[in-house]
Amino acid sequence: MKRLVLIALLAAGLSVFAKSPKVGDISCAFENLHLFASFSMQEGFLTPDVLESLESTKPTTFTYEVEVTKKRIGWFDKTVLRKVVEKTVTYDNLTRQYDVITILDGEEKERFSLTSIDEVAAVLGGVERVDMGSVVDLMPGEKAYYIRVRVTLLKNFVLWIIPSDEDTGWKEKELKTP
Amino acid sequence: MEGKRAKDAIKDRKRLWVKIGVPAFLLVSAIGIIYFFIRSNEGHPFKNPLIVLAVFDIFLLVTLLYLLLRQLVKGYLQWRRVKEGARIRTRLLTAFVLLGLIPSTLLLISAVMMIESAVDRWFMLPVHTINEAGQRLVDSSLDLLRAQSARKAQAVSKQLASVPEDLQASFVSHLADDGDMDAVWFFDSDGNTIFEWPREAVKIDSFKRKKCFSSEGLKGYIVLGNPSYVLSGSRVGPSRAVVAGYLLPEKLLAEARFIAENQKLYLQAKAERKFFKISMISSFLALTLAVIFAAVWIGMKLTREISKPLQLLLEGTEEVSRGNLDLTIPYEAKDEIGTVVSSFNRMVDDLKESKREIVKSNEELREASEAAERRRNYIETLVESLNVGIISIGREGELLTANNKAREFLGLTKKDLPAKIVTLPVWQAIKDNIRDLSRHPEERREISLSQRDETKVLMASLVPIADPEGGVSRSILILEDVTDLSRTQRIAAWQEVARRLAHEIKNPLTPIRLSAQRIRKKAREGAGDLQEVILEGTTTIEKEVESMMLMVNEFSRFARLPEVRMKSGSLGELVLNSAAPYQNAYPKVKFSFDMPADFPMVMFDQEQLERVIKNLFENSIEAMKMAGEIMVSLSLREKWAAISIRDTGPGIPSDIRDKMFLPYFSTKKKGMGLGMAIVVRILEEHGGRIEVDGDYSGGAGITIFLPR
Repeated sequence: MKRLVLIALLAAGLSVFAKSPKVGDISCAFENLHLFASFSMQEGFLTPDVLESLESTKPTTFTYEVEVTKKRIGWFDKTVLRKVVEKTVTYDNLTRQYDVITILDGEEKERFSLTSIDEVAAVLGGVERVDMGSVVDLMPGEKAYYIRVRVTLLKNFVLWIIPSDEDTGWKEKELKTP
Repeated sequence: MEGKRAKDAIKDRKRLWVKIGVPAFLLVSAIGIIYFFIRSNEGHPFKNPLIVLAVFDIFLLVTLLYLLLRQLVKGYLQWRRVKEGARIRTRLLTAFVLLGLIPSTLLLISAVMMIESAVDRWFMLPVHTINEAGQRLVDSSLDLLRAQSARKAQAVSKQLASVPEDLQASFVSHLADDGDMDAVWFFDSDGNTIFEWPREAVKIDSFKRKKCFSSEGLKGYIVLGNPSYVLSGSRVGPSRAVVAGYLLPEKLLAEARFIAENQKLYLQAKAERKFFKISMISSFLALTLAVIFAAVWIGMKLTREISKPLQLLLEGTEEVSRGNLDLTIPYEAKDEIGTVVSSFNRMVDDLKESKREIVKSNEELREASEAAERRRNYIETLVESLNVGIISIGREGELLTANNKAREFLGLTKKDLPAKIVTLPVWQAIKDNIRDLSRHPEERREISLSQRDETKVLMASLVPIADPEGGVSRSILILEDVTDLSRTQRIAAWQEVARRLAHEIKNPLTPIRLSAQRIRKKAREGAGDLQEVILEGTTTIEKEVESMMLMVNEFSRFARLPEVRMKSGSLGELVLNSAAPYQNAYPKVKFSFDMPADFPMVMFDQEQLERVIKNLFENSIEAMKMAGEIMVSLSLREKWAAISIRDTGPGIPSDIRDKMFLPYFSTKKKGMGLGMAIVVRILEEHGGRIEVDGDYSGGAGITIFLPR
């Protein structure tokens, strides 16, 4: 009995942590008093589960959350800018095309079809130049803000019953405001 | 008791709030969690039931854990406090929980393992391969069209490249008219359509247009619609592109669609097998938790039902052991526990009744004890103030208590008792004197005590006190100061003796004086019958002197009775020895004896008792006028050895029966009347007595009683 429980816990732990995808580099650019953020996923984010989900002909959505957060001492940090990009891929096994819909903060931005999984991987593997908004209100100075990114890939369950998102966890980077 | 009930009522109210509040909180939390998850998973409607199930599972699990933990903590605390019924309740609950938990858990594990292996088996290689083969068939059919469209697009692109820009649209139109393509689109890099045929058959979106300008071009895109096309596009020069479209054959498309739809179902099922497993396992888990929950709940209820009366019984027992009998266990049931409880209640009622009776008895006993104490004090005071000495003597003859008078006799104070008295020589003398009295309790004995040049005459009598077992545990020695009485009696006795002596001596003296006077007168007168008168007078004087001698002898004998010397002997032999002289002397007197050979030996003084028997024989012989029968018999009567002597004489008149044993009483012409008095005294010395045999009517009957 003990062994079974241990195996179940180990399996659950492994499934959560062993092959968890990671966010790679985050880069920021200030143009016309706007902050543009780009980031990519580390290699291997297309896990077998993700691949299977992509090939399942059911919509698979990657949710990219990008936040600019102000540090506060002795209290919770404050999110000052936030964007959510959702990329939903639906595979059509008749046409062998992947229909991709990109949504920014709930608004559809683009829709297109891809013919190979490599193209899909390229599309899902990062976000280019997402406009975080105006930085006019941000205080200039070093180490006052940081940008953080989290990508949620799949919905999952831990120990069969506990709903759990399969995500990258927050990846943070110091933001030097101009 | 009332305070405890009030506290219990408050506790019950609190428990009710906890019972209602905690599940309500859990329910609201569960609904909230479900709502949150559903809201946050709107894009995944399939998973919503899973989340509902998951939350339901968690809700059940948390509730179950809460229940178990609560019971565990409660049971542990009660166990530690050794609260009534806690141990049996914990054991029962543990048993019920394990009964539900173990099989359900085993079933769940088996189900999980079975689901895991069974669902995976559905997607094993053969099934996958068949589906893949079908998909490949569709793909290969469509790939031909893709390749054809790609080739055509490249060919058109090459042809157009050689045509001047202003003629390219016409050229494309010409190609469309030739029927080499089912559809064609010609557009520039700015997204402006230059030519399309047929018009608005399919919209070429910006992505496809961009793709056409890429190095690899647009290859084999299928656009499903009515009709459906396979599109391939290629760049024409730096700023233009052409897309060639071929219609998908309806039949092929239908077949491909059919295969693809099935493949889609398979792919979807395969991708969602994890969730399918989760849904099944979740369902099983929910079922298992519900079963365990039901088992725990039923177990708790049963445990409460079983342990509640036991707890009440234990509390009741505790209360009863503390002495509280004003309680009734409020539990009614027709089962065995109900019978036990009602028996307990009856028992408590009986105890209460018994206690009331005991209290009443105790009260009566206390009153009786107080009365006895008062009586004892009164008796003690009485005994202390009595004019007789009272000494209690133990089994071994030791002195226990002595009253005031007794202490006075012995010359002691209260503090001297009992230690000093045992060392007193006088006590030893008393003990020696009263030793025989213990065997003859009805006797009294005079004891002379000389204290400080004063001699006291005490009349001692010993009263044995029987203990409950029938033995004699102690005796009461009663000492009566008869010094004055003895002196008075002695004076009276001497006066009586003097009076008797005077009387008895005076009687013969008169005839003696008369005879002497007559002789003197005759001698003075010189009478002729002087000799005759002398003879007659001297005879009279001699006779009266003899009578006086006889009287003196009798007094002497009465006075000279020696002290009895007791010795064990046979009464039969004594009777035969006593009768022997009379049998020879009086042939007309017949002696008959009824004496058992095994008659026990008795303590007596041989010489004195022989005198008694001979006295009685002589009386009988004289009464029968030397002819008749004397019957002697020996018998045992209770603690007495009895010698019965009966004759065939005239018997004893009833009017003299009371007086015949008194001194100086006689029916004979001769004698002082001391014979029977001597007999009585000798028998008293033996601790015995003499009685007239009232039942015998054939003559005189006398029975002598001697202690056995």
